Amino acid sequence: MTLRVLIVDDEPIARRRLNLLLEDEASVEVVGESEDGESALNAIRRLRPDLVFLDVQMPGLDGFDVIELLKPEECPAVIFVTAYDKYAMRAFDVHAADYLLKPFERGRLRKALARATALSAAEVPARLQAVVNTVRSDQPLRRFLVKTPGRVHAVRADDVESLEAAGHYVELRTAAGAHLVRESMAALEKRLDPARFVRIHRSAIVNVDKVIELRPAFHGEFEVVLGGGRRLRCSRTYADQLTRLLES
Amino acid sequence: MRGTHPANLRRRWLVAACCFTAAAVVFTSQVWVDYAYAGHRLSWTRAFLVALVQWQLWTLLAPAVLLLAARVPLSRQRLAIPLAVHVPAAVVVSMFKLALEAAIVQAVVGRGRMPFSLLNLYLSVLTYWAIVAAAHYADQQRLARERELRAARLQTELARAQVEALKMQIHPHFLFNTLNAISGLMREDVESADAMLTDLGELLRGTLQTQDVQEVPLADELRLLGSYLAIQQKRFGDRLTVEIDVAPGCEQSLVPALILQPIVENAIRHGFSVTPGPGAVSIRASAVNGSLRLDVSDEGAGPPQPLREGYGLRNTRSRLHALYDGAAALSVAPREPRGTLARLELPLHRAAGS
Repeated sequence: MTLRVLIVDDEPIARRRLNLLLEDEASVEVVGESEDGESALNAIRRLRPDLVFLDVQMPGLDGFDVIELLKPEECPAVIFVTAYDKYAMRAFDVHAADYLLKPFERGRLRKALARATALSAAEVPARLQAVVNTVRSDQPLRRFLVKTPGRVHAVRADDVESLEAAGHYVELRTAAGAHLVRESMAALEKRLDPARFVRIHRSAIVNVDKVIELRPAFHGEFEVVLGGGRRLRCSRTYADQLTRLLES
Repeated sequence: MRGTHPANLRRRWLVAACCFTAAAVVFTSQVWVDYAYAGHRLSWTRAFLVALVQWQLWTLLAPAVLLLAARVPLSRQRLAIPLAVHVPAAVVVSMFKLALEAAIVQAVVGRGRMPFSLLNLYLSVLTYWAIVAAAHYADQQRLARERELRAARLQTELARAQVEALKMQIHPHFLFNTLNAISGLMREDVESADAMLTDLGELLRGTLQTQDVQEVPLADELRLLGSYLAIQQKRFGDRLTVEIDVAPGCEQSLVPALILQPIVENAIRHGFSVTPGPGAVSIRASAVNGSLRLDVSDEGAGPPQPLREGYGLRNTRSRLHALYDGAAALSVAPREPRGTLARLELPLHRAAGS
């Protein structure tokens, strides 16, 4: 049985190199190459490879985003490839994930291939998800993944002015516009950088870097004015924390 | 006057007070002898009191003298002005002091004939000049210390820039991906692999060699950047376009060593490499109104607003300040239609003799 492989890396030389090394492996067939996260996602869904060599750092969606966006039944076996990423390497070790550190030689590649093929397909998605969760919980969220029909894009946490509850969704507001994310406020809040994002109301969180003015209102409440001109109410319960963060 | 700080004046005054008290102790016997010659037999306590009056009056007058010395300092180049001020001032202050002294001393020793000597006047004038000279000496010491401090700071900042540049080269992501690319090229194009190794070598050597030179010609700085950019361009292939445009005549202008490295690295790391699809990084140098303008731009997502400056940019700013005071500027701003524009403006100057 041949192993159908997809190579994902943003550097063409790195892709060619892996391709060349895999040519010598009898049971491996390279079915495609992708140069960024979004095209990798499409390629995985279209080509249904058995195994993906997945570069961790890529423009736009990174390797972990790709796994996060795959449904369990779509998820192939993965060998992570990275130059260096201390969060990722820790997570790989914790969950015994297969990974290759660049540059690697043929012996390492063969070992990783052997381990990846020995793994039963049933337990792959859960293990990969565990890796992603560990990486994510170690560091505050830097980007939000916004899914719209047909495409996914990344919104930098730096650019987000506020997060506001909207039914079952959360609305991310940036200077460029608003995006809906299907997640609860409470779940998002846990993953945000607490030094920058602060809750000001039961249904609103703001990026303190975007706050340009606080206007005292009645009963110890504030009106928070954001860089884009948007005004939000800060209830008394959260006022202390907001002023403390603004002063830091 | 390059500001003598009030705290400095206060400290100098305190030092003067101590000196004058010591002088009073030493001069007690002189006072006793003076009065003995004039026919007064003073007790030693009285003699000490008189000496104390004589000298502590200087403590009272010293702030005025110190202030005047701070306003009109001695300077080797234009000695005429301080002399024209301090020679008459010495005489006036001394006369005033002697008159005051006479009044107070009479109160201490009682009415009667006072010993008088011209020596007292000379001593007063000398004391005045001693204060001015001491202030001058202290100023010189302070200036020398400040010069040393500034040189040390520049040295530290250059060392930091060097460390930053080295960090950029051994930044794990850059270094290991470059090594990976070389090992890939080795199998398909030996010449090209060789060229990449040479570039990596040049880059490391170039940074290590920038030892104690604060400024280098722009051409040298660009050569070092050239190795870095050549590596990046090979790694990313057609996806990365690099444009370098130097207006004629700017090549020999001096720029702080390694000044462009952190800026270009920012453009690649935060501008180009996080944005999918093709992108360009451009470096432009031009002379504008007596300034050398260096623009580094990318086509990424633009700087976060408000800008959060990393260590590299902060060090760049403080180096510019130490080297050119207010004559240099660095700005980082969003660029139309997208991306970031970092602009450096430096005083346009060349190495002497070039």
